[in-house]
Amino acid sequence: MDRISKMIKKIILFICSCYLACNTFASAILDQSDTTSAISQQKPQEQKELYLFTVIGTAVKKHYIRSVSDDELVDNAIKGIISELYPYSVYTINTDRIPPQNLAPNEFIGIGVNLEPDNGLPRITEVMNDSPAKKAGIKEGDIITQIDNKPIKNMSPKDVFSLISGPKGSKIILTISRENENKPQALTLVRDIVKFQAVKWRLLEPNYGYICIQTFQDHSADNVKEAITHLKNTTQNKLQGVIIDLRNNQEGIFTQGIQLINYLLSSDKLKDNRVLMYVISNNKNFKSIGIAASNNSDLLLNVPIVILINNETKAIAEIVAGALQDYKRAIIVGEKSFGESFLQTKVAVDKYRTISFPVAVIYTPQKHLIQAHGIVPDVMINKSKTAVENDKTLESINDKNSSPPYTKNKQGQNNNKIAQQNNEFDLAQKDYQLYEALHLLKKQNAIGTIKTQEKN
Amino acid sequence: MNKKTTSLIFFISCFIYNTSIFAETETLKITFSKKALQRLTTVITNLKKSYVKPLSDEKLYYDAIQGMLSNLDPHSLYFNGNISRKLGMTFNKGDVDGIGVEAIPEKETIKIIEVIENSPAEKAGIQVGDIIVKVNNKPIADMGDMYLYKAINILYSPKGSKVTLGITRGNDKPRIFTLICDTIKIPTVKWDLLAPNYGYIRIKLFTPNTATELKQAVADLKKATQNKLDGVIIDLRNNPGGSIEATVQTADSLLDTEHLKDNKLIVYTKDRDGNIKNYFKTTKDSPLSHIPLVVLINEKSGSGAEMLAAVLQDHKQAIIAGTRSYGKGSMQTKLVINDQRNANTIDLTTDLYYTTLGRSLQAIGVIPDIIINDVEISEKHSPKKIIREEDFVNHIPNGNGDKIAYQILENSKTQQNNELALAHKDYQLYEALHLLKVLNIANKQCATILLPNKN
Repeated sequence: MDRISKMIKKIILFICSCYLACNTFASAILDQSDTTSAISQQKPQEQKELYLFTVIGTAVKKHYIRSVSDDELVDNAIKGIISELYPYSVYTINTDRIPPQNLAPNEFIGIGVNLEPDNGLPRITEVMNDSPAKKAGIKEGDIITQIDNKPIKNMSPKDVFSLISGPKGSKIILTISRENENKPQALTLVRDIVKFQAVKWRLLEPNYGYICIQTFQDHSADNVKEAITHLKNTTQNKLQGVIIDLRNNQEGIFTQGIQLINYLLSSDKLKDNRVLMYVISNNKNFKSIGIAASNNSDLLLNVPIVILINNETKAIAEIVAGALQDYKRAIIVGEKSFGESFLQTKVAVDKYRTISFPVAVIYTPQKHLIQAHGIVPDVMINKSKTAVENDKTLESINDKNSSPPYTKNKQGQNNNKIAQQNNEFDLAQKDYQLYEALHLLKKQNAIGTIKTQEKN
Repeated sequence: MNKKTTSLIFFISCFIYNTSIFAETETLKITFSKKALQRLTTVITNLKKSYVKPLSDEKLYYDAIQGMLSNLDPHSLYFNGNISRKLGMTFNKGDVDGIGVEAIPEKETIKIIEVIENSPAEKAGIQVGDIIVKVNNKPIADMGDMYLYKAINILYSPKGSKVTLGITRGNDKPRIFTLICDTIKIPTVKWDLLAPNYGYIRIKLFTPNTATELKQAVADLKKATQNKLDGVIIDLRNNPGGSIEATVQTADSLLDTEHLKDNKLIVYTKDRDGNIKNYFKTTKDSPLSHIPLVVLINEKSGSGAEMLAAVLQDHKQAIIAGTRSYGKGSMQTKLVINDQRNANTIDLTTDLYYTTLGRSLQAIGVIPDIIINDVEISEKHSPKKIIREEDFVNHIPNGNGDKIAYQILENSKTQQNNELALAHKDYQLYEALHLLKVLNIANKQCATILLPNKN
């Protein structure tokens, strides 16, 4: 008990001395207003907090088990603040002090792979064309077990990313384990400029187009516009439907998403209400933004659109899906989206450091909150393949034509049908959601035809 | 900034969460780079202005200081205001005032994850998993972004204070509980008899009461076996440690000065400049001297627990069994930093500790003398299928008479069942008990074989 009462006395004494110290500190800051104007403008509450921060920082510098710099402590502190905010709040430090390279918007420096965690190790899901990874012979499905000969099991994707990225021309050793190969092999790659193609397109079937948008980058909207032009040309303007795939689309530039919505909505459809989204920032007021131009035309006029989303669809992709859904321009198909769409901002802290963080939550034109709620598809389709796998007829067709399709069947409608069925079967096996989306487009067209005939 | 401002900081020697002695009061000259500080204020100003949700200075600076420390290493931590003092004292004094729950934040409410035995909370019927939605009639949702810290302060109110909690359980409507805070005792030592004359002592963590509790447990064990203890297992599994003083006191009561002869060192610590501090030596005899000891450790034996195991291993006072320990060889010092409002404390990693033989356990841990993995076992044969001579109806009776034979068989069956039950429940403990028995038998037989003329 004695010790405790002594302790209390000490604390009381101590509080007095500290109070004085704090005042000194505050006035001293005011003296140096030239360089610390930001600090001197702060309210007394914040000055107290800042004072406490410097006291603790000084104590850490003096007593920590190794010597630490002010820069390290402040960087740690900012990381601490950012880590408690919503995800997508990021603190970036360019410690290598490399001057930013002159890169085109669709270029980046790296090895050119997309990764996905698989049992605590990154699995390669995509190898980009002409990339260092492609040149080194890395294949989709390979698993990275070590980077620069260091094990990376259970490392966070963020840390893996920072290990993989580096300046142009620098070397990286990837230890790759591949299915059907016993021994992992170590490959040395040189980081280089990789061209990234965020928008890809192809024909799924005659007159049915497919556009996949992986992220919204600079020019993505125009890339989609180009893709639409290509699709129209190859089908000689007979497009019967387009699927826009926004699955796994997690980030991107806000203006590109807005531009894309503008490309797909005609002014007629919008009528008087031309709001593309609403935002609420911390001042709690609804604000509409992204008003479409009054003379807007639809690049895919009279062509049905199906938008594919899944539970990894986030951010601007959710805004696009939400707006096109609310204006009934597209049928949304797939799974409920992730539900994390903020308006982001980026602030330079100094020459080498930036923070980016969300400033507002986003509502669809019908004032449906995206944050935590996501976009609910008009037609739910899960990833599961079981429905097709159990379909015996499809299986038997496949068995009969065990040799690759198209090789022996050169003519005849029957054979074409079988080939098409085979294609569909392959698609259903490979990507069940896309298969269902395609069917939906076809059904929509079939119903449309019947209705037109009825009218006639 | 290079300010001429001074501040005082209390030093508390500590180990993990633990505080015990005020060692030093220091005058600190505050120096901090103006440029670096400005970076912090830029971030905070921008976040306050534009972040999607309003943020308070209190919360932002709490996260800043916490981040400054926790990004250094996993054991450097910041405790803001009263909670730190109270949580610190949980371990410091071995008891704490409050309602007797441990809670964590969950979706802007507070979830109860532990209810301490015999505490006001347990008596009132509060259960693990209950969600606190109101504290003293104030909804948690209205307490702002520092709600957790504010609410926890109330849960740890001084003895005699009244606390009302609005609690939801499952989908039930919120119920109001009124509790009177009390002093919650946290016992750290438990004992049991595993087999006749074989004792078991579990040390949950180290508080200043632990050495005394251990002494009592040994006395109780001796009494229960009428001073015929043949061996003791000390279970340090899942023990996260405690203060260095509490750990050393416990080590002191297990180390036998007579056995140690010249080397009486327990442990010492070294800071970044190589200064040796906290040089502890044994002072007294052990109540367990000449009794075989097996110490059980596992991967969750951390810090103080591994230190104790390593010291007993270094002095060859016990056989260490189990799996390799956690490997925390650093020591934290608790610094108390006062401002006008609160006593804020930080746990800062300042030293590495070294055991008797100069071993550092950092990122290595203690490697057991006998490795016993934590496995589950099953019997190869069902007991019903085992046939022995006595199972035949027409077996010839034992030469010493049926009564004696029956007694022997019954004892053997009981023993076998007990052993099997233990092996199923806790394989490591089962193996440790075997080790102790072998040790004891070997000791006794070696004594007769090697020293036939002693008596």
